[in-house]
Amino acid sequence: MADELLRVENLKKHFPVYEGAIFRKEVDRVKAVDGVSFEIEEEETLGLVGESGCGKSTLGRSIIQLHRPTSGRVNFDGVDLAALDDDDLHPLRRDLQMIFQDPFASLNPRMTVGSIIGEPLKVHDMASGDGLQRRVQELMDIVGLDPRYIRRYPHEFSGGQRQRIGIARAIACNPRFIVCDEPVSALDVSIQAQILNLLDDLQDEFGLTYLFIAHDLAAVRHISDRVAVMYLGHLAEIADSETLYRNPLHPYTEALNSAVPIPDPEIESGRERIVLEGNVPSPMDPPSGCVFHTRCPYAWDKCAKETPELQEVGDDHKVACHLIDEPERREEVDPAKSTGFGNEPGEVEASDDDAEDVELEA
Amino acid sequence: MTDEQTQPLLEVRNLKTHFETDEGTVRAVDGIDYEVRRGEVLGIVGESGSGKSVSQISVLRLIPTPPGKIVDGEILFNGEDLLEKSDEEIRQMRGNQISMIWQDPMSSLNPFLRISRQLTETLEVHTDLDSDETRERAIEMLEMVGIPAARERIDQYPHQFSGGMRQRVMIAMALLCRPELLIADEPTTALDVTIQAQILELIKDLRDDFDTSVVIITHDLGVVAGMADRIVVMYGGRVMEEAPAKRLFHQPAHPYTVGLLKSVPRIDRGREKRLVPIEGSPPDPTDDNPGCPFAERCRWAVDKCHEEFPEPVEFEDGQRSYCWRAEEVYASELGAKASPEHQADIEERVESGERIDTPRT
Ligand SMILES: Nc1ncnc2c1ncn2[C@@H]1O[C@H](COP(=O)(O)OP(=O)(O)OP(=O)(O)O)[C@@H](O)[C@H]1O
Ligand SMILES: Nc1ncnc2c1ncn2[C@@H]1O[C@H](COP(=O)(O)OP(=O)(O)OP(=O)(O)O)[C@@H](O)[C@H]1O
Ligand code: SF4
Ligand SMILES: [Mg+2]
Ligand SMILES: [Mg+2]
Repeated sequence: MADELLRVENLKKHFPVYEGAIFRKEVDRVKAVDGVSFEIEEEETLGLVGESGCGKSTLGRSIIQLHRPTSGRVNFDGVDLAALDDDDLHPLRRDLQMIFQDPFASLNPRMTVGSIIGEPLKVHDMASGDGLQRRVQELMDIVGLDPRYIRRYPHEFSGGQRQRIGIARAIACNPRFIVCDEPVSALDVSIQAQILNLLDDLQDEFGLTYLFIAHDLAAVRHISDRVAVMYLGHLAEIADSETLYRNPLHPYTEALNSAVPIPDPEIESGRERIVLEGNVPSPMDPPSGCVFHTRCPYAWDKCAKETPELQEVGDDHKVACHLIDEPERREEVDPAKSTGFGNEPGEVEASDDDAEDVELEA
Repeated sequence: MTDEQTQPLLEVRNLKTHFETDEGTVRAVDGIDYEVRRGEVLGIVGESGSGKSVSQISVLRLIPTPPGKIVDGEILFNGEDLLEKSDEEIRQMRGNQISMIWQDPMSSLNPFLRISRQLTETLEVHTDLDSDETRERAIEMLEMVGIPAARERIDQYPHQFSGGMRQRVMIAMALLCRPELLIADEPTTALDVTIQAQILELIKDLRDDFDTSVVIITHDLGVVAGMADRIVVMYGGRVMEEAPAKRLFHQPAHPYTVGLLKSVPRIDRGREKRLVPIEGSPPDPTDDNPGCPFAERCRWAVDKCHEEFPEPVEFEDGQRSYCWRAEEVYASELGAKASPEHQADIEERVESGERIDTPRT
């Protein structure tokens, strides 16, 4: 077993929602990340999946301190990053990097590729002059870009090549930990595999540790050793990639697995799909108890009242669900047929409609 | 039912749609043929910019002119060429016999109009129902696509609906006049997987209930695997391969199809296998390439591939591949099913430039 590199404890990131133009008053809070704990080992890839708005990016950013957390600890190699002030954090920042989803928006269009990739090296005083140029060309070579293009601008590159620029920049300072936030979702199907393989190779070569965020569970499962499933600011389940697919214990993981289409018509025609009713509720007004109970096919009264803790159920497998304590309830419901917790689907949807209104006004 | 007995609902022949831009002529769709049969779901897959949307917008005759123009071809709907029809005739058909669901529901719903207004408007144009009847029909349709409390919610505005519900409204709107052909352009791309599953189930049910033919455009091979009866694979403005879904996934006969299948991660496979990417990047759409648009990235390419676009090669069950080496690719893939060693052997010989004999099956 490798050593633990990162330990996140009860991490919260709430965004205040203000009202009033002059006397700004906090009227509400978006609980984007609401008490998340997990560890990542050295040279491991932890995948993070969940629906849009569930807090994946916020969690990633809070870990590397692009957002300062509202509360909780982020122990990186024994140091609590959340407790450091900006000056003390600065030298550690080069160990913590991020690759962004949109290779078009995340690169400064007025900078040459050379200065984009070289910028972090300058910021951290790691190279200058000829040495800088040599290092940048070396990095371009590593990620599969032609080093002769060092003076070109981002718009002269294709999407996949731009993502390579973003990756070169992220690995420039020999970081130890990289948050990959949807690094392939904006790319063409035929290009995604190139980038996934590149990330894999870089990990082997430089001993990198990744948090790999995506909504595409197939891609996440492909690249990750372990996978964490997030729902509305909370972790629902975390397990090694095989267990998470073969033996999911959280009803949300179960539904997610069954919803991902498999490119094989014979398998597809024989699959039983669990279609969840309703939509993801607003993080401003999350459901009581278990945040998933409004869409859960198994939910019973306890679920609306008590928040389930993330508990260990087996080797490195943790689940936050009351079914763990009352497993016999699993037998009573067929998730592929149920429509959810004691209410008509209508009631569930109607309540998110209000939530959506609020979001728009905010 | 045999092919001879049933005339296809839609037949597209040698369609070319080009755009004049500052960078030159974009050959968005550059000579494609395919058909949609009655009651079937046809999937169109391919990467961004391969011409999937333009091919369907051409069918609706909604190409912005200029810069765009349908420069050649025929689009036969029930045997009649849509390109010969007047603008008024086409307008009558849109929303009535042919409907489209667009990728982004927010941009195609009017944010300032109540849902009720947007639905009844379509019915007023195409039917002679009175206002109570149109309203009832609209409510019925919303219920059918699974909008809860439709009667109460029909007078709300689009922003009061979630993304998945807006997509349902779009589908309801598209189906109001019971079209013969429903074109769905990436109907679930903007949605989360659990919501995607709801919408795909809905489209399947509606197809069964109304016997509507459906064209579904997507870049997600998984989506077509679960939905489509037949699949058209596009690349660089051309059709690469057309086949029944099962054959396309199990016996592909085109190098691009094979490449796609190997490069996508599958949830049921997990980590063990390394992906085999297609190297290189998609072609520049302004290139006037006489050859196969995939040739630059193709491991099977020979000189001829760069010079001349391939003639279609027919296999069983209407499988058709536009590739000069289709039979070899097909044989190699079948060989791969037989034994991995055979496959490795074939690949090695191909890479060293050898021509492989083609065992016919
Ligand atoms: N800077 C911010 N200020 C206020 N609210 C924010 C901010 N950033 C994120 N949020 C809110 O926090 C919640 C979680 O957002 P986040 O971007 O982390 O989700 P996500 O899981 O990454 O979604 P996606 O898959 O769409 O990227 C959302 O409701 C979002 O609107
Ligand atoms: N109005 C337009 N003006 C100029 N070029 C256009 C226009 N519409 C489409 N194109 C070009 O036509 C080509 C095909 O576009 P199309 O939208 O059909 O691709 P697609 O296969 O649907 O891709 P995606 O998966 O990204 O939706 C592209 O190169 C595109 O840039
Ligand atoms: S025609 Fe040639 S280049 Fe095109 S796919 Fe076939 S072998 Fe490859
Ligand atoms: Mg995000
Ligand atoms: Mg399109």
